[in-house]
Amino acid sequence: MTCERFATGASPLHGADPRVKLLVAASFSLAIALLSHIEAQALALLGGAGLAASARLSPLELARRLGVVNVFVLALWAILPWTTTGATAAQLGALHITREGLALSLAVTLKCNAIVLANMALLSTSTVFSLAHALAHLGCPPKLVQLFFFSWRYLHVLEEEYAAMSKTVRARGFVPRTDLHTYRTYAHLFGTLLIKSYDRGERVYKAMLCRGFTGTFWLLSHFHLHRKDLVLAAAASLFISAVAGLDVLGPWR
Amino acid sequence: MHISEGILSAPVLLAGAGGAIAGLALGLRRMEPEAIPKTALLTAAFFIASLIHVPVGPSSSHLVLNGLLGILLGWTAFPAIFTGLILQAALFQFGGLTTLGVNTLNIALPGVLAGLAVRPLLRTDSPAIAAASATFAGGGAIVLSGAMTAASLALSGDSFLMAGRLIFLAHIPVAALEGVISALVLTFLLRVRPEIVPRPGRRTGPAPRTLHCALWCGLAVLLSLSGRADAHRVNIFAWYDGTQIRGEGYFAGGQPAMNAPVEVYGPSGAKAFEVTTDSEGLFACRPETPGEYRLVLKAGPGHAAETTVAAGDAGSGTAAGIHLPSPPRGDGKNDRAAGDDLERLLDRKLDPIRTELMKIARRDEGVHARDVAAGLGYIAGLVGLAMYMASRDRRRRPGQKDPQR
Repeated sequence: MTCERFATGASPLHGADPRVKLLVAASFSLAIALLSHIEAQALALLGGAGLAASARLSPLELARRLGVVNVFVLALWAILPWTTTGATAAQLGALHITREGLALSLAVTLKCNAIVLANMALLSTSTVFSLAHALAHLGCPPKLVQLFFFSWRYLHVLEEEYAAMSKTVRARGFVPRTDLHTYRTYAHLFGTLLIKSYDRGERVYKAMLCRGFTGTFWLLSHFHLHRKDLVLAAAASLFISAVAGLDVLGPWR
Repeated sequence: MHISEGILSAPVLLAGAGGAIAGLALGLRRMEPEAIPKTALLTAAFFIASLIHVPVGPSSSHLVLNGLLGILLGWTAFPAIFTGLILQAALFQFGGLTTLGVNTLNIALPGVLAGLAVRPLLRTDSPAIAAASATFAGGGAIVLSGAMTAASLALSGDSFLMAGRLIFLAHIPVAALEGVISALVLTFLLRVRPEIVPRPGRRTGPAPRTLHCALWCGLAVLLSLSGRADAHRVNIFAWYDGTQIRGEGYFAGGQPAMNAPVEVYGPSGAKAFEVTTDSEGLFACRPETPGEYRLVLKAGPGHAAETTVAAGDAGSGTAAGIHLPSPPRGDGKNDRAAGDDLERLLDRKLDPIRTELMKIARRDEGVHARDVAAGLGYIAGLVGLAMYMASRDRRRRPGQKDPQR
């Protein structure tokens, strides 16, 4: 699985403190999600695009991920314009396309893309392990951090096991169809994967006990705030308050 | 299943986050430190299940298996699903940070409820009962997830009501598939490695669990019902002013229903007129015979409102339960001119009051949906708090060591 494609790079965002990036991403997402005016939402999208540009992400991969997200958005464009009540903007047969519905679809598109761009720039530029590390430093419950850490650690191992098993089935002539045989095959594949993961979990825990595990994950390395992290935090809070201020106090009120 | 960023309203996001935090707290308390690697491995396995696409006719569906996860992990399914969703949000940008709470609650709670509901049935060794209960848990969890997703959308705004309904309908075939796969996986596990499946017959203290189950069931029922709470979205407000039936159409938020047709049915029940509201949502028509008129405002597919007005009988102008004073009319022929003057004067005086009354009527309706969402948030918070206290008391039993230490 090639999920961490954005995690390596030399941009200022790649080098920033993951704690700061997590906090900025969370507050940015929350603030943008609650914007209600189109001008503020457009500004937020500009901000998200600016972040993505400064992270110097590969444009191809960026477009691919944005495309996946916008499939959901397109589904909303197919439903909202005619299910929203309001002034009719156009008529397609029996369906009234309303101005309110179009505005709502546009708002969701702007907000969703703004948040996704910002999160790609801020979160995907860290490795998952450093995000888990940052969560631990930010006071997330230790058990949750451990669960997150182990899940990610063994996800790839299990993925390889599953890939090997499905290759085996295909080698024996299995072709997926809509029938009980297909479903039974998938169920048995997944059941075997569950058993394998259960056993591996026990072995991992025993191995940890052998190495003196007492239930605590000690945090050996610590993050250090540099000036550029403070600059990032300050710039982000300035931008967020500007957008929120525009939304609440803007000239249209 | 996943709701993306930028759609849900603040009260729904808050209620979701509150419920998810309560579930997470309970799940983490239930998870002993030695169970963490095992739980994590199962989480990873279920994450991989979400990447498996199973063919269903011409299309395909990925597996969720939250009901099966509920059977295997119980309340620990909350942290497991939360972890899976964080990974999806961070890696593929499915879902997102702000909707993490709502999505966790919508997927994990049905799984936990369905799983815990059928666990007692697994006490017997009959594969048929195991298969039936897994079908119920797997399918039921998806149906409930669909209902909660639809409710989250509907509570965020009237516009999402139809989208929510469509999403709920899309969950039905997925539920059938999930039921079948869950049953096949569970019977496989019981045959090959039965010790993986928790069988409550060998456990102690199931009573408080049933209590929690009942509590959460109540909450889930509330959540799924509340989708219908704001079904009356367009309103009509009409009165008889002595010569004309006048009225106004407006939406729950207070915007006027512009250019919407109003059908007026006469005392006989037959359609008497059809008028259209103007740009302010106002309309008027002149009834010919006295009697009870029924007015139906149609503002798009499935959005209709109706009210009745008694016409031709001075002084009985009623609208939407609010009695508006109608101008008194002179009954003698000699008073006619004086009466008309008085009427015009009174009209002028009463107009601001009428406007004020309509404003009040609108405000009441505009608050409604948000009140429901906020109320649900409170319920989720209180139930979460109660469960947290209950689980803490039980943890303090002597002879049990604190898992945090």
